[in-house]
Amino acid sequence: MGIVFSNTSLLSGSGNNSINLNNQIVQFVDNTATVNASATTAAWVNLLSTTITTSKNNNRVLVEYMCNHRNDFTQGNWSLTYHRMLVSGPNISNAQIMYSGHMGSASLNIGYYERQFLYTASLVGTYTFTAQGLAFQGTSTFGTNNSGSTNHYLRLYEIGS
Amino acid sequence: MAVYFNNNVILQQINNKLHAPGIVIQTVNTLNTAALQNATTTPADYFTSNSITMTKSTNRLIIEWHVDLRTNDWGDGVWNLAYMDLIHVQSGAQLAYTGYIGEYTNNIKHSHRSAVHTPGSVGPHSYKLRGWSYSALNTSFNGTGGWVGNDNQSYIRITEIGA
Repeated sequence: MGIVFSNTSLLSGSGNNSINLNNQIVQFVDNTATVNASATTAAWVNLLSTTITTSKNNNRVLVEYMCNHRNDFTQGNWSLTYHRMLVSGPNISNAQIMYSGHMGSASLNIGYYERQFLYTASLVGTYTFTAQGLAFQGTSTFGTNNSGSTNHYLRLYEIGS
Repeated sequence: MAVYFNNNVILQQINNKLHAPGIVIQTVNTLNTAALQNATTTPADYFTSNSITMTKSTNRLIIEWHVDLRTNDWGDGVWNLAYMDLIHVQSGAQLAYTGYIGEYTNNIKHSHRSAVHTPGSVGPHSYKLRGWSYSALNTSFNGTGGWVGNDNQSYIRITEIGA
């Protein structure tokens, strides 16, 4: 069933045991985990991956990501780390949809990257978001590795349309 | 009253709030304008959120915080680091731990992150932040003037999500 309001907004049953309403959260998928990884300049390394099955074409997914990092290249030189996000789904494969750019300083440093952004899932289906990390010089460590931090996350919120 | 959808989802009223899976039920925001200075390696309570009483015991809570902080310039060429964690007051459980925050030089940082908690009862529930130092030297959380120099605005925001 659905309830039609006078401005034609529709409150309706949707997939995944949820209710669809314009601009409301339809479902929330939490992935909180303690990452333990390292990367050099050679290749991106997977950090976190979260999957959501959308319930309506063109609903948006609010992506919320946080992971700690550390780079101790050398004091006085750029010690930098990169983060990025890939998505795969019914009509897309490992497309880069977020990129942090340089994160760090010309000093040994320990920090984190935290970001939220919206992705429009054009089709109903299963989408997988994967966070990856890379070093600018030397080695960057991620998550609890060399920082001691815990509870990193890649969370997904489906927003109704 | 309740409205039943054909996928067996229920939109219902509980304690004067609308409830359905996945939706935001309520938000409790706690603004803190006090500062903390801790020059020890032992966690010190910074501030505690207002409590939230959930509408349903199986719902989840997202606890988000923001704090500006500074290790008060221990010097270039040494680690200037701070720590924070988030504690569920009623159980004492640690829900998030920042690990080291800082650099091998003087630095001023912030901590902004969140944790998801399913406490398993309607509550009330409250959450507190703690802060401490890596080197038993002065570390500031909030603080105008010569400390952090921020606007003394830190917060814990609790959002209940329907299950």
